[in-house]
Amino acid sequence: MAVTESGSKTLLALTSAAVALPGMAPVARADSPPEVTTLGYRYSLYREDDIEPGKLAAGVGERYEIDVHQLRLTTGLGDTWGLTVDYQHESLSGASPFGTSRGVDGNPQVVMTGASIEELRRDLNIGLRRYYDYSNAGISLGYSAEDDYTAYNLGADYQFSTEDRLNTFGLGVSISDDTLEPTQQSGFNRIKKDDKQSLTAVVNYTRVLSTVAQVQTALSLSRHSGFLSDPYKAVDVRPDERIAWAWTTQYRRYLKDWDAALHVDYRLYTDDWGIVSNTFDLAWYQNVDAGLRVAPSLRYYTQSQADFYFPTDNTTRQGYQSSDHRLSPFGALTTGIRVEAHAVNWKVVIAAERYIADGDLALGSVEVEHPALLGFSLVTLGMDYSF
Amino acid sequence: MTLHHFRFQALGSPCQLHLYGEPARVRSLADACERWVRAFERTYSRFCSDSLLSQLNAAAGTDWLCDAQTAALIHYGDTLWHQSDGLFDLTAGALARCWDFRSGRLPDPDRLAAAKALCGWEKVRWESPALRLPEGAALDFGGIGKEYAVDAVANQCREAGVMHGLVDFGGDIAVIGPHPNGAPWKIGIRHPRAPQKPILHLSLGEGAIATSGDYERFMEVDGRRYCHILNPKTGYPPNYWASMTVIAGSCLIAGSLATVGMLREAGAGPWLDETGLPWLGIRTDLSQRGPLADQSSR
Repeated sequence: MAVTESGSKTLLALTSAAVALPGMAPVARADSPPEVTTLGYRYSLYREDDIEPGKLAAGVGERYEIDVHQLRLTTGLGDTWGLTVDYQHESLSGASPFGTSRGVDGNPQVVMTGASIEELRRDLNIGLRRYYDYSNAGISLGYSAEDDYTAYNLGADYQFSTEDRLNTFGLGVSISDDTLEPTQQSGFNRIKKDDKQSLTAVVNYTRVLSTVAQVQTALSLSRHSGFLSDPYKAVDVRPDERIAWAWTTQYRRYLKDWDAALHVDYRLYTDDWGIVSNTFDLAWYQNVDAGLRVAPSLRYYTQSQADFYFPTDNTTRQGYQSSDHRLSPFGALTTGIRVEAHAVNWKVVIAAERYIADGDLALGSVEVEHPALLGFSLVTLGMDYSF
Repeated sequence: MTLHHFRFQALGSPCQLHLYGEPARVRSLADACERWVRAFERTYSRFCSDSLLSQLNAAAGTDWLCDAQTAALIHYGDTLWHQSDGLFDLTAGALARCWDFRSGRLPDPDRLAAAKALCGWEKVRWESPALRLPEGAALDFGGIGKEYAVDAVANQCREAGVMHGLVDFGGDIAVIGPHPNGAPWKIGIRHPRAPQKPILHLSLGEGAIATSGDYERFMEVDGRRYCHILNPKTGYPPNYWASMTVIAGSCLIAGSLATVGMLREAGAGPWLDETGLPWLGIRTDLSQRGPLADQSSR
């Protein structure tokens, strides 16, 4: 039975007198660290599609396969501190595009690196957060290592809410320092060692619109500098600085009649390399049962090319240039489904995603589609245990 | 998630909490709620001579500075007095003391007249937070105290993270949230002449429901039923509805409207309709009225 309240004078008078009583309107709690300890594990299988034989000029068409193990621990430390520890272990195998050459039909074809590589990546991130009544502040420290790559990152953020908790503002900064030491191979003139740095600043604002809706918007500015080229490509000369802006808006709404939540996200990204991208995300979180939730999702992505992107490598060309498919113009669609089953202190997650990039999916017309545009499948199995 | 039930006796009623959640957490939450209710009861008990309410009443004739919660309760009672055209009166407790429902006898008219002379919110000087009761008058939060406690406990549960549950203090009910699968709670409305038996069931996924009835404390004299709900203007109980049920956003409002509906007798229908809230009135002949009435019983 829905409680439909009219604009009755009596009811308005009683309601306004009632809400003046302590405890009549639910008061949001002070910011507080997690009250339970949660251990989470995720296993993901990431499989890139093979390069189509007709688009392969040389090498093997098998691309990356990555198996990812993630462990996460979140816990409270006393009444005012929260701790998050993430550890990730990735094993990667396969080949990546080395470059492009002109095919007999005039279209570019992919040259893949000769042999399949095997690589490990380990990533550790520790976050510590201090909670106050209407705010919280966090710092995070990360370390990531591969055979040819080492990265350190450091982040800090501060979030604060208005007294009614309808508005939350946040500020964050992070820096990273990465060192590259490419694996050397005879016949390839790779750099010995180089590094790059990143600095990102974010401001965000969250507004609770009603008991069932909220919107969040965030603006971030990043500066990457140093060696930003890909050392494993035949020809790849990129500027040593990249300034990027991203504006993200997320809308969440719970629909009572459906017992479901709608998530709508939009992201606009632009950088001084000439790339502009738009991302639209739609997800529907349907409660099926007390302990079961199913969420289908759809993401559309479209980007323009970098100023110095060329579909076909040319060793005699001067200046900035890259044939990296990630700098090419394309559009992509991701379809996904996520199933979460939870009991009192257990949660099981099964998720699957299919990603397809294509020149035809781009918002503008793409004259020459990159032959190595990605297609991948991602399956995740996971479990959380709280105690 | 499993459903846990907690029961205790307070505020003159069986109090029940039905909470979904992890056993240890809801258990400690229920304990905290019970402690809050007991402290609330001690504060506003008429029967306990050192309660805050007893001290406030003992200070009648002088100015009393109320704490925030008491002031808000009085402010609510003042608002309800205005909105009910004086049918709800925080000072009507003196009348109740003239009625002994176990005696089977009507009160002595002189005594009732004397008690009536002491009642009347219009004689109280209320300049929040300062209260001055006329000498001999006394405040009583009957009709709003328990209902407020139901809402306050439901909100404490929500704040503690319980999203699915129900608070029921003697039939005054606030829904914390529906069952975890979204299904509403099924709430039985008492049969006024067989209170252990439901006369009908209502589904409630949110909000609150309260019933005021002539079957809680009553006596029959010469074939007429006299119940504990008293009209401050006459000193006598109304005799029109056997019970009145109202669904509202809060138990406090549902309970206030149900009580005033009982007192408004034949005028209750249009008055409640004007609020737009769903209500169910059961006449003494058991016929049903209002938007929630079982159509077949009209």
